[in-house]
Amino acid sequence: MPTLLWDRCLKYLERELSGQDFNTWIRPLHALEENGTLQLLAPNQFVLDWVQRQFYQRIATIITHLAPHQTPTVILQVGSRKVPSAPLAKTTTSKKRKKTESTKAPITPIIRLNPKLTFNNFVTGKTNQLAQAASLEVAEDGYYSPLFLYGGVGLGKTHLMQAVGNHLLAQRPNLKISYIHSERFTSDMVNALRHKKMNNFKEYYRSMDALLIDDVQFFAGKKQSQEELFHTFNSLLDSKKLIILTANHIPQNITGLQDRLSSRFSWGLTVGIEPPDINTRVEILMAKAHLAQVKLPDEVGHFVASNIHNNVRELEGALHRLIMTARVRRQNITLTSAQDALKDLITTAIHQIPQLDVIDIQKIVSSYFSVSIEDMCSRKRTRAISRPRQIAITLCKEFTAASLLDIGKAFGNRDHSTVLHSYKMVEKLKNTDQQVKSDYDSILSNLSR
Amino acid sequence: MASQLPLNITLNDNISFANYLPGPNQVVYEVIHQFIEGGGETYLYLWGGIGTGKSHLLQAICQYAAQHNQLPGYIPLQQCIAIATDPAMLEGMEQLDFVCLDDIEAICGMDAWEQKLFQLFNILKEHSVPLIITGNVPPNELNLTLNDLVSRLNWGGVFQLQSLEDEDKIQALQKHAKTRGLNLPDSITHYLVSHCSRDMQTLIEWLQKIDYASLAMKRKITLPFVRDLLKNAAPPLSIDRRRR
Repeated sequence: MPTLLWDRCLKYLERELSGQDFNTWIRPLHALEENGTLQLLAPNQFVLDWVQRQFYQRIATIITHLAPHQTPTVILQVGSRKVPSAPLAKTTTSKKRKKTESTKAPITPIIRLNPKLTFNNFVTGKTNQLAQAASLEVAEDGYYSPLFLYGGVGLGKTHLMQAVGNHLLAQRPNLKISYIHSERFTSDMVNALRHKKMNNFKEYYRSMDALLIDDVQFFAGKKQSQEELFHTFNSLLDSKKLIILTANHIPQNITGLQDRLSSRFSWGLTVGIEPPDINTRVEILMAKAHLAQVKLPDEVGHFVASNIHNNVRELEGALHRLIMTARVRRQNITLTSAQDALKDLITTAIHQIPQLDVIDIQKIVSSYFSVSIEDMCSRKRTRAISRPRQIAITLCKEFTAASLLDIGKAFGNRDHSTVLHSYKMVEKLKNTDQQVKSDYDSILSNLSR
Repeated sequence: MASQLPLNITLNDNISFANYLPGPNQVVYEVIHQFIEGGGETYLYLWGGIGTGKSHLLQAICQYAAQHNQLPGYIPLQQCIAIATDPAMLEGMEQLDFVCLDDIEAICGMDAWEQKLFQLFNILKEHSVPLIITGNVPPNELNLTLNDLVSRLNWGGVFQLQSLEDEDKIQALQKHAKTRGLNLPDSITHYLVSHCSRDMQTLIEWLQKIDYASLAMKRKITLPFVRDLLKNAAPPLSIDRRRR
């Protein structure tokens, strides 16, 4: 519960500190006031140490000022209001501050599967149907342990793996199924070691009916985690339990993995997923749109699918963007609105123009029109020289942060009103003079190379 | 001229949505509002060049979240890597209600930070804690080594922030001036926009300098005063030097 006293203290600190300091170090602190203490819980040790060094004195002074008669002791500690921690440090003013420990429970509770990831909404095509069929078979018969799914990022490995878990749970709700990312396995193990609870850790993982570990390539080079995984693996297989693993490559090609592990990983069924072809991409988009209860015209599906090839996550990202934009504009998704919302994905976008300075632009414009920089900066007013000059000035205004004054100076000591005049002139000509428009666009594409 | 130093405190701009001017970013601005109201996606990626308002937006989001009794965290990665060698400061963030990560480009190619960020992404998703990340380019152009991270960054909505037009910059400067309790005549804001480097960050730094100098010298802010200051004071870190 936020405390009144801390709220008042925050008002002081907000006035005194820069926005960045305040938002980085002070806002994440959770305050609890009880029994004459003001506990400030920091999300981690680093934040705690920093607050201690930089702001503790000031906080204590403000608190004393605000509550001169009943000043609570300010205690900084790592913790969370979600898991209240025992006070780990009496008070941080004491030099003998006890080492603060993580409040995380040493053993992960069973991590729930995402119920949305089922076989029903997994869209299959040529490149993933084998993996889907294999997963379904594992889900129905439970043979082939371990099931090893490999492929590039964002192709649906996690979806299939969890679909197996959800399928199993639907049939036997009492099954103990744990889905974890391999990094989590490692960090749980480290926590268990630190808390001397390795037995609990082992018991927990070895008691699963199905253990689903994502991205096992992250075990590479982590000897102790591999050792523990090896034993967990053997124990589960001995008891005929199901193991599903995913990775970016086949087991033999994951560098930094012990041979005995990679060979065990291949004992069951190893299936790959390739990036989806265009038809599958369209279908995926349509299915995701349907799930989100959004109407996605076919032509938009084709448009997005033909411009995003890499992976399903990127497709989803593009769809999210269309949905969010349409919602804000209170309009349906159309081909035109999609082209507009995703224009940076599909055109030579302006963002690809690197950071330039005035001289870069002068050089490129000079070479494009075969007019020397000297002439561009001179007082000459023939069309052949003044037009390149105006275009160069316009580009400088658009694509550099230089002041109008500096741009003017760089073009033969002209003043800033001349810069503005040139800019307005070119902007107008771009709409009325085809030649100017085409010159401008060509130079723009030169700039973006 | 004899000058008196003002109180030794940072005068901050009290960054909030109130002094943010969306200009050409109106749609993104509304997307952000929809996002922080919740109910939809839990992750958003915003990108744009220097001075496009990324940090301003993130800090405004923190302020907004705090006002709504949430516990937000703002992590400016550029500054973080300057003070921390390892990414331990990204731990435990799932305990917050909202996480804002600024300048992801700062950690590209730093394996330990990329891995930690990947873990953070996964754990925040697991705990349904909303996350907003900003970068100077879209995720695919970041030069990250960890493909798993790139693909996750592309997962939510990826939106571009554009620089304000000069006319909008004048308005934005006036908004900032107002939050500092200054009333800047148009002549001064026009002068700043035509005579200074035109990225918002530099313009705001000039505004701070002007405010500070007028307090120190006990002078009213007039055009001659500003002209004089611009001529004599060291310029803020200009965009070009920042880039280098």
